[in-house]
Amino acid sequence: MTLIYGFGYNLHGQVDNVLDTCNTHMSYNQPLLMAKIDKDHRIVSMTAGWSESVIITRDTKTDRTSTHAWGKSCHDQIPRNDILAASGSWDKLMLLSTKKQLLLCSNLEDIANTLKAIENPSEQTYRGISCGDLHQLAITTDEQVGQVDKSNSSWCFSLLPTLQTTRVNLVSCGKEHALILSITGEVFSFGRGSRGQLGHDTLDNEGNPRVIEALQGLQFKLVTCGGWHSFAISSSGDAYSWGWNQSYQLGIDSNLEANEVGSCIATPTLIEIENENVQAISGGSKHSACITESGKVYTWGWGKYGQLGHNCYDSVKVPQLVTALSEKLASTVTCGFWHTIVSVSE
Amino acid sequence: MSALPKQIFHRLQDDKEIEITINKFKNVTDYGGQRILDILLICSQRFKEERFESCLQLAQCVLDIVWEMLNTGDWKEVPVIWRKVYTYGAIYKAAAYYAMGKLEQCIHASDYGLLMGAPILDNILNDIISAAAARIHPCKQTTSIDDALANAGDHHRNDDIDPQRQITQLSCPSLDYFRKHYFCTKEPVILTDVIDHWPALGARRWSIQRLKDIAGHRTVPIEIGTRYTDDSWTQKLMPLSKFIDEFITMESNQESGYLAQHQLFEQIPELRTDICVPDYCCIIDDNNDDVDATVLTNAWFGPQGTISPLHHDPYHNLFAQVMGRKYIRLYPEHESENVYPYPTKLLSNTSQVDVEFPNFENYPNFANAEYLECIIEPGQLLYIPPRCWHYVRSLDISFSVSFWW
Repeated sequence: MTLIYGFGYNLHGQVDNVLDTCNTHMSYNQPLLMAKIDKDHRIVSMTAGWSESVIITRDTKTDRTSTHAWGKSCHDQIPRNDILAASGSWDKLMLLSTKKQLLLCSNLEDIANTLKAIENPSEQTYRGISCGDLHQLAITTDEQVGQVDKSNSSWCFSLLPTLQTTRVNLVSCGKEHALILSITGEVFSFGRGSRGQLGHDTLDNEGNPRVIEALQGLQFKLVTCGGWHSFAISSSGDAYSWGWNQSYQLGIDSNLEANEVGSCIATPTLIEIENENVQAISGGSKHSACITESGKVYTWGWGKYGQLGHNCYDSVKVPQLVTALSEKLASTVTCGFWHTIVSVSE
Repeated sequence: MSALPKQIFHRLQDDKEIEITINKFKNVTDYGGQRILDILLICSQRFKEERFESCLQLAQCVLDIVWEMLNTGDWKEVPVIWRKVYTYGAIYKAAAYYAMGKLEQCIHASDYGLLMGAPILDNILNDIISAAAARIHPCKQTTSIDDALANAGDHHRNDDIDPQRQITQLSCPSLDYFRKHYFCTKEPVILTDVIDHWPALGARRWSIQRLKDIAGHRTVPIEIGTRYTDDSWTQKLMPLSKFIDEFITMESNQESGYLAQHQLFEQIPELRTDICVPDYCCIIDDNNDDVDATVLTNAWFGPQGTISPLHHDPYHNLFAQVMGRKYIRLYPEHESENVYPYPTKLLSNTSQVDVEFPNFENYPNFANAEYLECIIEPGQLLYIPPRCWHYVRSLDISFSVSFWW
């Protein structure tokens, strides 16, 4: 059986599904059991924004998917049975259907009226999505990457012109930047760079995806954006971070860094976690969480809303074990703006 | 517990006024803001029920999420409505602190609302601040710093200035004369006998102690680091009294702090009454159609040794010296090539040359650039034309006021 735990900001019921904002707990600073998923189901997608949490599971026998949603805006509001992946941001929610079509909800507070299929004249099919505050990216089934943008009154997909010859494995959007991982393990970034989140050793913006030179020569298996920060995990299990370190969300002791400009670190920097390899990592607005090879959950950064799960509201400078989950084997983790969701097996 | 003045308290718990205010924010729902309005409504209800701890938490939650909005994308493109919502959250936070008797936190929260937000409810934050300031204990005395001020400082004397390069001084010229001979020809000039009547220079003469008395508890933005072009340069918000204690009266501080280019007089009306916008600021360019009549008034307050690197601004600038002296050097616009502006767009109005210790190997033509210089003293007003390069170093603890138009 898989158990889902959540901790952090909960005013909208994104952790406990109590939907009356007047009478809910503002936050949980310890992991709370959100759901039990029986052994025939596998988690295929996990996302969280500011006020909601969404998990999609697949029945390994029937191949059917089901959607579980927490939080006032999403609970009861999104399609139940034909969704393969979900990705949420501040006000948008992007969905990938089992027919490999894209749907975009342009206002989370009104899903019923604003959830629409994206214009698809060329009958494109898709395999990956990521929704940020300023960008929405999708990967086609033939591994090309493009943006979903509003043109006139409808939402359209268009390939990123400069990456048409690059086959893409993974995309991730932060609040104002995006990361792209090619199938050969190269990492690209674009968008706003004012917090160093692009990793090009400057605070400049990039209009088009640009390969992160500091990561070249290594192969990467995962990239993911926090609010204004970024992570990449190499194929050997080393985790790197860069971007805004204002609340210590990078997990590195910034006082020791030479490339520091204010509280921004614009160059990828290795994160040390008890000499363990890292299998999964995720960033919230200003906090971060990861799972090590041995299945332990570590969190660091901003802790004001309990999003670190350390039984307090303190911020933490370097990765610290979530002791309440230390006896369990964690497999996936995702950070909402101010909350964290972890799946563990029992 | 302390009671807010009745008229403020009443406005913040009047259902009708709350409804009207929140309705004015309705267009944030286009940007997913209904969730925030829901919280604001509960926040105001908790205030009304006098559940101030809970009110405070909810207000803080609104401030935290709107802060993220204000930091996403280009600051100039963030809809101004978010800044109003930010201010509404700050108002309840400040009022809750006031009601809990935490007056310093109340002023601190109000200043954040003023600095990050946009004015709403007839600028009620200023009323809350005045009410809190009236009850709060004054900031502790600064031991004879003002006496020391008179003797301290860098004795860079007038005769260090090359007479050939000394900027012309003129006693209170007529508007017409100033317009014709300086404004239109873009010639710098020092004006004397123009601002002598300012209370800040006479009846309510500014001193470190007076600034502390009036505004010690107020939160202001401070630039940390010698020059804004340095990598380690950063900005921090802190109470004015802390800035004075740590950066102005403490000589041993290794970091340099400067309250620079801040619209202090918008934030603190009590200080605004001590100065006046000079009449010269109403002179406008003949051939400029889109004239913006507003005068931007900025404060510049710091210890001896603050440096503004050589740079230019697009405005006419009347630079008034109120406390201490400053050394100023001006390079005309046509010397731009010889002062080596930074190649990046962000710093293209800033010279790479360290003006007083130039590296002529890297910047050989800088030696050929013609310039003017002066030491400006309290009561003097320096006219810096638009796009005229200027370098400024304080010789004493210094307070200047610039008027841009």
